[in-house]
Amino acid sequence: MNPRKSLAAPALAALLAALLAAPATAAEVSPDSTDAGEIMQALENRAEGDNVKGRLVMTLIDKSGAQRQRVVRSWVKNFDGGTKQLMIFESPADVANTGLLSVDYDDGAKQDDQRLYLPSLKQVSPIASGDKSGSFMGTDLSFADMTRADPAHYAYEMVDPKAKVGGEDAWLIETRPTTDKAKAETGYLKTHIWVSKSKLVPLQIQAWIIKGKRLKQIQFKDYEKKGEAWVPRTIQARTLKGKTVQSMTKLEFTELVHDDPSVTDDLFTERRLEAGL
Amino acid sequence: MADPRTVLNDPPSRFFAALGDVCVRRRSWVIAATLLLLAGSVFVSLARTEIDTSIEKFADEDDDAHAVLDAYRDAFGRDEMFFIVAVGDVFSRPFLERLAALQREAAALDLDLDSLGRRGKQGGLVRERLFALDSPINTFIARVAPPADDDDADDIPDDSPAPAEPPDDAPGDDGFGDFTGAGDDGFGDFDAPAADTADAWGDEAGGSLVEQSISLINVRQTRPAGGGIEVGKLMDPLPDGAALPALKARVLADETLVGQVVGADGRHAAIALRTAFMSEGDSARVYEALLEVVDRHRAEGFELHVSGVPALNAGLTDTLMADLIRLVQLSAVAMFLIMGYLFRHPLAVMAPLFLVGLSAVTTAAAMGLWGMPLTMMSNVLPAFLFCVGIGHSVHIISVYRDALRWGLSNDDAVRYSIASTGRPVLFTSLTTMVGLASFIFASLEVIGEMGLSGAFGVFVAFVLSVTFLPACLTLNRRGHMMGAKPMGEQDGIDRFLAWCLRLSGRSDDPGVGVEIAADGRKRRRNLVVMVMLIGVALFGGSLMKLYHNPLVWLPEETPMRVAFDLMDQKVGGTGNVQLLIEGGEQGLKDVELMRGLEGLRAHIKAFEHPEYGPIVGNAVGILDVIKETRRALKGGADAEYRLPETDRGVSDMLFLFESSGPDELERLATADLKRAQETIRVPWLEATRYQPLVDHIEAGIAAHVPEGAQVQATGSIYTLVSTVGNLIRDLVASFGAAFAIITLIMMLLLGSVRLGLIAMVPNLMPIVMIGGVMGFSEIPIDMNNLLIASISIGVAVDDTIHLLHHWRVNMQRNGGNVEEALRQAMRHSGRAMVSTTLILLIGFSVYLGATMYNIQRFGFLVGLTAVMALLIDLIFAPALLRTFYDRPSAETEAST
Repeated sequence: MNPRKSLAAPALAALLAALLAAPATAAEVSPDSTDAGEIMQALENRAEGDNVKGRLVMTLIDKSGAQRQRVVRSWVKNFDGGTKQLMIFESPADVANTGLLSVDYDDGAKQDDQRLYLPSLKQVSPIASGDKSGSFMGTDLSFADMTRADPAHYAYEMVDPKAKVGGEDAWLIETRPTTDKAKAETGYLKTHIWVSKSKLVPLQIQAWIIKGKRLKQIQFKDYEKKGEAWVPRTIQARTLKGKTVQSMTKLEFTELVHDDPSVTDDLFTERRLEAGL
Repeated sequence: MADPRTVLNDPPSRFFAALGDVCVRRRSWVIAATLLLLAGSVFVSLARTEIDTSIEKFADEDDDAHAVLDAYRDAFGRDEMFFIVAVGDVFSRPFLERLAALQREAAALDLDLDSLGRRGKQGGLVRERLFALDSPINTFIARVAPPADDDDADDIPDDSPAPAEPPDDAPGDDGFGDFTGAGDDGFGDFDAPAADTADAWGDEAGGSLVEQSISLINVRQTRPAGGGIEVGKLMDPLPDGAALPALKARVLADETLVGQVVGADGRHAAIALRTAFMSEGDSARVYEALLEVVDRHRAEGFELHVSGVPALNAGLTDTLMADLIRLVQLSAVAMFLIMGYLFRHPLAVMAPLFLVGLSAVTTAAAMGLWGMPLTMMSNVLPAFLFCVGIGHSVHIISVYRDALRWGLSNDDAVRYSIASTGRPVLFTSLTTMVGLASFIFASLEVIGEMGLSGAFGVFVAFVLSVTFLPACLTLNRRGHMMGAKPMGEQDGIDRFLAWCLRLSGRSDDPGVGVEIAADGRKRRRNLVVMVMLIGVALFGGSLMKLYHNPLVWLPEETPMRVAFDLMDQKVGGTGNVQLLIEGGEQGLKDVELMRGLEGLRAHIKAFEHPEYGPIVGNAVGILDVIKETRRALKGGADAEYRLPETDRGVSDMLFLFESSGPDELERLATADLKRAQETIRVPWLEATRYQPLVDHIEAGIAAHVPEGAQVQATGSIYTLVSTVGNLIRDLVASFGAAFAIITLIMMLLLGSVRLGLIAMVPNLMPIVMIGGVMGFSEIPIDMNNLLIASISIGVAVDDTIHLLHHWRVNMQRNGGNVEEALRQAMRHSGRAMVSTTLILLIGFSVYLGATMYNIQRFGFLVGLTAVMALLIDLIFAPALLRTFYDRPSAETEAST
């Protein structure tokens, strides 16, 4: 097992879960299992694809119904100790060629690195964000959702071994941060994760956000089998306060290629960031 | 024994005679039905009655200001905030540590609130205060009589932001329709297993109801970081002692922070707490919880106060409820004593008080059923019902005991009292109902609701007066005289009435020619005095000023007022103006728009109030985000705190900021970056004092906002300003309608256009007089006492109807003898009018002991109105009647 692949964080690294597809290894866990720890471990252990290239349409809607759409080209590559990602905005025109280069280190003690290129300034600017529970680029997903966390800081409990999501058999597992650090980093009180028994992938997640007593719901939809991997084409998330939807986000992968040989280390440089599309 | 029906010269009504007979014969049924009504009303009012004392309740939902406020809240959430003001040596480590600890605890407030996240009227505060939420009785009540909005509980409430709809150019066939469309299709799978309660939080206690808390500790700081920017907190971590002097100098030089989180003198710091939307009842609970937190953190050198509009609303509710409960109790005792003195029998005391109380409870129950909350306006309803119920009772009991005195049996006396008094009681009820119902023409829903529910209450009081009261009187088996003097014996009231008649122009010995001539002089003198009084009162009325400031209803020394004063004087102010900014085609990524906003802000900050000088405390908005991001990106030099040169530059600053602090941006701009907001803090003033600022802002918008973009102003001060305008408009419209309809009813009742018009003089004169008193004594017209006019007409009309109805009947019987008709009318109604006035005067005098100034003034003015209405009816109304109907006298005068 590679410890850095432990997707034990409450939100299961939502975006990465989509980009790094999971091969069908459900056979490792019996569908009758009720051991939440075992299931989560298997989920973490699944081998993942690498060198992913994709085109992502991000749609953001706030509580007033105001909607914004951004199209992003994305490249992801694992390295020993973390993951690199390059995102360059394709549209709308006012953000075209704006780019984001990020390095996510598995070592929690190490500060993740994010750099933004702004074409009007022709300048690469590092971004520092001390609060991982904050929103990622205005979406309903937080930085913490895309950051892997230490499973030692969480407790798992089987809520429903015979749950169903859209007719699909699933385990419903509750995770709770057991340390103040984990609670503060994610901002979550607890999460519920529905894990597909047949694909061993997350189907949906509900997170209890401490600040403002809100709920976050994330769904992974339209799974496709790419080689040995199951890939969700759509991720949608929403934040609720009581019964009121406060904001919604939809991420749709219009292109997604795994193990693309063109995804090399050369892509993840400031020079490439500045070059744009 | 003479038949009292002849002696009293009072014609019975056939309908009311039959009704009286039913009440006598079926007394047990009537009393049982009344008790059933009581039980039902108590049950329903406990289950359904709500309280909403918010100032915003008085905003017209159809007017522009409210529409802008709604649009603002749709986009940016609640505009009103709680403020905790801390006083001490702000820039010292102990103070900052205490401030941080206080903020942590306040921001983590966690209460189980039903209405959390929902906008609009909800609450059930009365029920919740009397019963714990989970008590068996509450559960039972909720099951039997669920709150009106329960049906909506499973949906987004009507006034919540509408479900987001994709724009026309949104991708159509990508399944996104399910995601954003009506219902929860896109997320349906969450509903079943996860949502074990309405919001799936269940009993989890980890949450917080505070959506945003800002203080000196965590106020946004955009600073340079390794060639880029970092959006963080001002004090993260807390600075040590050595760094504090430099920090103090930097903070106090920052105009975005001074007046927002810190006072200019460095001795005051504020924590602003923005909660989720909730009912007024729940907001009051948050306020109470906040006070407890603050109490725990008070220390030497760390003085704390709580202010803000939600705190004011909660404080007013608490004080109002405490005052009302105390005053109703005191009032009941006072009434009990005075009625006991006048009628000397428990039945004559308890039955009217019970009747009034039941009318009030039934009205509250009806309001609950209709989904109308009790508001600051509703506190006049008990007063209204009191006037009406007591008035009816006193008139009926007075006639009843007169009939006993004339020797009728108890049951016959009851029958007679209803038969002869029913009709005027019906007409006084009708006129009062019309007066109240006229408020449905008001543009403010809250006033319309008050009018409608008041009219209903008056109707209930009438029904009970002609059913329950006579049924109770039949229990006076021994025929107790209830304080009536034996025939021929006069008491103080009789002597007072005789004095009034003489003063009004009647001679001591009518029939002597010399005296008739003297009557003419008295009558002319009375008319001159009346005209002069009206003239003086009209002049006084012209001095009346409009004034609306709910804060000053509370005594000066109350912690609320101290907190508001401190906040207003030291930390920017408690009032707020919100600018709702809507960009043109490019949205907010428009440098011309940003320059316009820059000009607009400078214009607003330069405002000088004609009375108070510069009052604009602080302004924070999207402009600051762009400028501070640019400054941070350029290394932090203050010279770089300015706008970029191009649209793309603005766009990049917003993008960079959003990438670093998206949660901060969410508070200031919508997701599509088309709309933004700016908050301007000003001191809390009386409503009309804001008009110059409102005009100044509108001029600034016209001058600075570029074509294609739009800036609209809203916020608490706009709510106050529009409230005053609405109230006055509504007062004039409603009172005009009431006046016209009551005049028609008077004409119908009295069967004469001329008499109907004459009757409006004593009806209107008390109102004019009250206006004069208010003008001369500098009592302003405000939200609370503007209803005095309606109560005045209610009280005055009651007296006038009773007097003129009996006068007209006796005129017909006595062949047009004005003096004899007046004598009979006085005998029949005069005592009751005086008794009613005495009772009202004493009952409302108790209001002078209220904590809230507005209630004190209300009690004083209603009591005074009752006295003036009586004197005008007893002195000037007879003078008018003689002038227009006493033809033989007029001829005699002419001959002399």
